[in-house]
Amino acid sequence: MLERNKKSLSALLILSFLSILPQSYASQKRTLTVFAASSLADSFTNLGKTFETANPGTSITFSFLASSTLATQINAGAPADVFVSASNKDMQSASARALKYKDLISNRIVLAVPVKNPFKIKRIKDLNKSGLKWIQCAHELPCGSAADAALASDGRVISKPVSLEPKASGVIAKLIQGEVDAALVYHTDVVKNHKALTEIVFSDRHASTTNYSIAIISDGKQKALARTFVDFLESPKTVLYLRRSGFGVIS
Amino acid sequence: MIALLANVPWNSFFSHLTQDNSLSAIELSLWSSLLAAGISVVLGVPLAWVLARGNERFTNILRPIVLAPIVLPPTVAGMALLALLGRNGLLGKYIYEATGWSMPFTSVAVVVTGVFVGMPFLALIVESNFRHLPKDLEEAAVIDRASARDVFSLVALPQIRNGIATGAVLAWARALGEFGATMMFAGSLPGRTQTWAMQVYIDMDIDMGSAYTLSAVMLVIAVSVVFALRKPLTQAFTS
Repeated sequence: MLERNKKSLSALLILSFLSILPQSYASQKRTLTVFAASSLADSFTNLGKTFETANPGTSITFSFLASSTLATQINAGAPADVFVSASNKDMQSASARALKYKDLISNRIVLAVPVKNPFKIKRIKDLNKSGLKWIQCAHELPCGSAADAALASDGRVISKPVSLEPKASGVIAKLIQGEVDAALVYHTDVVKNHKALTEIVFSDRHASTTNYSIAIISDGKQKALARTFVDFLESPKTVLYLRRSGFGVIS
Repeated sequence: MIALLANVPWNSFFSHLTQDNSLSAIELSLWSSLLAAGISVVLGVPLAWVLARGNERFTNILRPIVLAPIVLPPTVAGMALLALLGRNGLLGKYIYEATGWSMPFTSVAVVVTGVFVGMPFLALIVESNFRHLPKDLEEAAVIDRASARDVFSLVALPQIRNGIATGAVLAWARALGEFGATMMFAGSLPGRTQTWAMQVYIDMDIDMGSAYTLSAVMLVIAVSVVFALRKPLTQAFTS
C-alpha cells in the first residue's frame, strides 16, 4: 500500500513537473507590461488579445488602476513599459520616467441613468430632484476632475453626490446594481452597458471631454515592443474598434 | 514599520493631521469603530455563549458562518453586505420600500461593516473563554434553581470580563482598519463615509506626506493594541 502510494506520488510529481514545462517556455516570450487607466480595462484587454495574436511570441500584462495610483507606482519604480493615463496631469506627475507623451484618445463624461429611470431624469439639472441619489468619482481621479469640470460647465446642479467613489469601477457598479439613481460616468461605460443604461450629455462638449495620453517608459525593459504596441494602437483596425467602443480618436 | 515611520514628514506632522479631511476621517473612524465594537459585544457575547454551550450539531453549523468574515476577502464582505442590505438587497429592498431609506452611503453602513468584520473576532475569543470556565459553578447554580439566563448573566459572564474586553478591543481594531468592504458598501464621502483608512488610500495619490502621517498614527494604535493585549492574546491563541 505504501509502495503504491509512493508510485502514485512520483507519478503526480512528474505530472506536475510536466505541467510546469510549457510555462517555462512561455517565460521566454517577450512580455510587455502596460499600465493603463481603469476606464480602459475592457477595451484594452480585448486589444491586448488581438495584439498577442498579431505578434506571436509576445504577451501583454495589464495593470488597470486609477491613473493617479499608476503614476505613483511608476514614480516608485514599478516595472511598466507603457503608461496610458486618463489625464495629462497624472502623466506629468510621472514625467521622470515618462519623458515624452502624446494624446491618444478621448472620452466624455455623461450623466448615466438606468433604462428604467424611476426619477425620470431627462436633463442634467434633474439631478436636483429631491430624494435622488447620485455619485461620481473622487475629485482626485481623472474621472472625478472631468466630472467636476462638466458640472461646472452646466452650472445648474446644486445637489451633492452621496459618494465620491475612490474607484471609477465602483461608480458604474453601484449604478447598475441600483444603489443610486444616476451617476457621472464615461460615455464608453454607457456604450458597454447600453442594455442597462442610457445617457444624457452635457451641452458643453469641450468641458466634459477628457484626453488619454500615452507614453513609453524611458527606462522600460521592452522599449522596442512598446513602440510596436503604440503603432498597433494607432492602426486603422484599432482606431475603428476604439471608435465603436465610444472613444474619440485623436489623430 | 520603521520604513513607514522614516517617511513621515515630521515637521508638517500636525498640519497634515489637522487638515479638514484628515480630522473628519479620524473622527468618523473613531466613533464608528467604537460603536461597532459596542454592538459586537451586545450581539457577540450571547452568540459566543450559544456556540460554547449549545447543541453541538447546531453549533457546528453556526460556528463557520459566524467566523467566516475573519477569512473573507474584504471585497467579498462588501459584496455580501450589498447583496443583503443594498437598495435592491435581500433585506434592503424591503427597508427601502417601507421607508424610502437605504443603508449604502450612510455612516450606518460604516458601522454595520465594522460589526460584520469585527464581531467574529470577539465571538472567537469569548467562546474560547466560555469553554475554559470550570463547569462546577454553573452546575451548582443550576442545582440552586438558577434560570438559564441567570447562569449566563450572573455566573458565567462575570468570570470572563477580561476575555470580553480582549475580544472587544480586537473587534474595534478590525473595524477601525476595514477599508475594502467599507468602500464598496458605504462609498466615500468626507465627513460621512470617508474613513481613516480610505483617506490614506486617497491621499496616497495626491499628498504622500499626509498619507504617511495618517498611516503612522494608525501604526502606533495597532502596536499599542497588540502590546496592551499581549498577555490575553497569547492565552487566547495557545489555550
